[in-house]
Amino acid sequence: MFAFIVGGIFLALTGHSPIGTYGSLISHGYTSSKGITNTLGLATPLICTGLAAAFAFRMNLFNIGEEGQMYLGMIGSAWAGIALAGHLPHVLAVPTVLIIGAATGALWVLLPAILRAKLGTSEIVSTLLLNYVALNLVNYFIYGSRGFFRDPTTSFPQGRGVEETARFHRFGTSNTYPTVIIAVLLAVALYWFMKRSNFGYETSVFADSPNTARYAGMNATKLTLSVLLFSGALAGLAGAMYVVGPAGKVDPGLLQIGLGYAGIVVAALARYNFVAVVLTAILFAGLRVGGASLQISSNPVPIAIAVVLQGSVLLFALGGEIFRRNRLRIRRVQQVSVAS
Amino acid sequence: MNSNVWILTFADAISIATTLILATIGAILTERSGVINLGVEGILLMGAVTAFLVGDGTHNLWLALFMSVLVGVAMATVHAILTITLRANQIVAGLALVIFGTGLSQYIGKPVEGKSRPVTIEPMHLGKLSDIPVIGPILFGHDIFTYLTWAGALVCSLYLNRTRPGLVLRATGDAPATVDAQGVSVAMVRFVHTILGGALMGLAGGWFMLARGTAWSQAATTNGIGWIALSLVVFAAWRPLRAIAGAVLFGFTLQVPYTLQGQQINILPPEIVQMLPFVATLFVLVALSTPRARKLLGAPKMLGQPFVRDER
Repeated sequence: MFAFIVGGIFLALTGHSPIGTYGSLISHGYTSSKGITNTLGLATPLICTGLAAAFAFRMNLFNIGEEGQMYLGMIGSAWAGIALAGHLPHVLAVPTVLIIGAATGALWVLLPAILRAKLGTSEIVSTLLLNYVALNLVNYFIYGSRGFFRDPTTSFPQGRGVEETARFHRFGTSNTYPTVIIAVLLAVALYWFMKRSNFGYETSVFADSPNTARYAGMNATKLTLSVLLFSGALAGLAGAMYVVGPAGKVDPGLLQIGLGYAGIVVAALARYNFVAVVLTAILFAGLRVGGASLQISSNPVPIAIAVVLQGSVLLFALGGEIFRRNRLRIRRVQQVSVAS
Repeated sequence: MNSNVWILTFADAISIATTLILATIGAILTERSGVINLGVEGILLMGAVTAFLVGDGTHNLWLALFMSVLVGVAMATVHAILTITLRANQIVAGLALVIFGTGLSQYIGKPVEGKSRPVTIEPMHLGKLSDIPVIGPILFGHDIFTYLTWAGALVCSLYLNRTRPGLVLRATGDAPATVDAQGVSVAMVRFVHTILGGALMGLAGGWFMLARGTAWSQAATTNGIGWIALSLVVFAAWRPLRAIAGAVLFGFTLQVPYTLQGQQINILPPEIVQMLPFVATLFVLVALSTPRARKLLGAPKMLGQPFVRDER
């Protein structure tokens, strides 16, 4: 809430009416029927990057390379969509493309994951540095070379389209694709899996106390590797969903939206709860969609206001957390005193 | 290809290094106190856009740089309040700063997007020194801030290793409980150095904009330099003087793509060459992660750990 007041101050300072801006942001982002389907469409990959971040952060593994892993997922799935999908029946084509996208995303985090698991190299900086490598890689495929991923039929630099069988059909005339159902199901499945499975139990023990986990005979190297790889796969899946959904090719447009970084914010706000990630992602996607609509109004507001809002929402949420935590602590102390 | 080009490349590498040194020393001071501030990239961007906007409005170089320092201070203060007072997760708070800074700099920079830089930090001409062949342009053709930065690194090194507050600072990063037992406020030491670090990062952004940048553009301004600076902290083993050597080395990898492009040398496509600084940084990180290197490095032991009395 405070974040919106801060955003409002920035808006007012730059000569935009805060109330009018928020009004049209909400109507374009959530309440109009076109708006909400746009929002769900954008939320789909964001749910995946949010899950990716939440999954790793839960185990205190700070994979902040979702952005790059998502680009690689886009590249991998586009490759599958061009090279493989033609040979496969429709029912198999889309899943293949999605799985290969997830696999390339996981591949991109393999090096940081091994480094972290074997040598203890901070995964924060290594995953982040690879984002810049991935960014240049996409640019190279589309602008810098006339290779496999570039559309050969036109001199305009754009990606080569994947086979039609490798794409989902949108719902009606909306901008929402069936991938949104996959993303939501994935979130629920993860929630359930991490609560019930042995693996989920081990990661939560490891997150709380690596030493306890070690004494209990858990394999830290294996856990670290699998958590980071799975996180990368989720981020890769986000890129793949972009390919089977709206893009249909390697599209440098994805580089502009920053869904990987936004996924980290979403995960942090959802306090790494997988189901909450879904709701937060939808909220955030609405901010983006609403923000984009502001750009084309009579008094254009730069879309970056949405990013400013995201950043300030996160900062305030972090600040507010202490109050929750402290209340917990006080109560615990009281219980102890009663018991004694 | 003639040798002049490489002389210029070296000179540019040393020049770019100024930003890296400032940001790295800022991060070293912060991390030595036990606080990790991942928001460097965001602070650099905000410093840069502030310097540009203030310069554009007032045409006053000093005011522009002063304001970018203030912005750095403000952002570091937010980080300090969140992580030290409210004990939020330092990593998430730092990332929030990056996202906030990226968005806000883009937002307030929108009206001047593509405009060329309003005021310039001019290189100095040091008389005969600058005219010495080869060494002249490489060492004596820079602006005053480059030299001040080198001096600053020295001062910072002396501060850390030869003064009492420096000793307290190092102790705060390694053993905050001991510092607390001595009656020194851990929170105070961390606050002061986080904010001081933020000031240097803000200056780094402002300097980069007015000395190296040509026009304001979000994408082309810092472009990941903040993250390279964070890796440099590890490379420099949390020691300010080593940061200079590391910064020049990394400055070189940042500059080489432009030289190759300018010379029309197309051994590798430009997109691939642009990856060079990041790949090089990654290699260095890997090399420094071997157990033997790790022993030599000596990271602050309580880096990233909030200090709560009674908890340990």
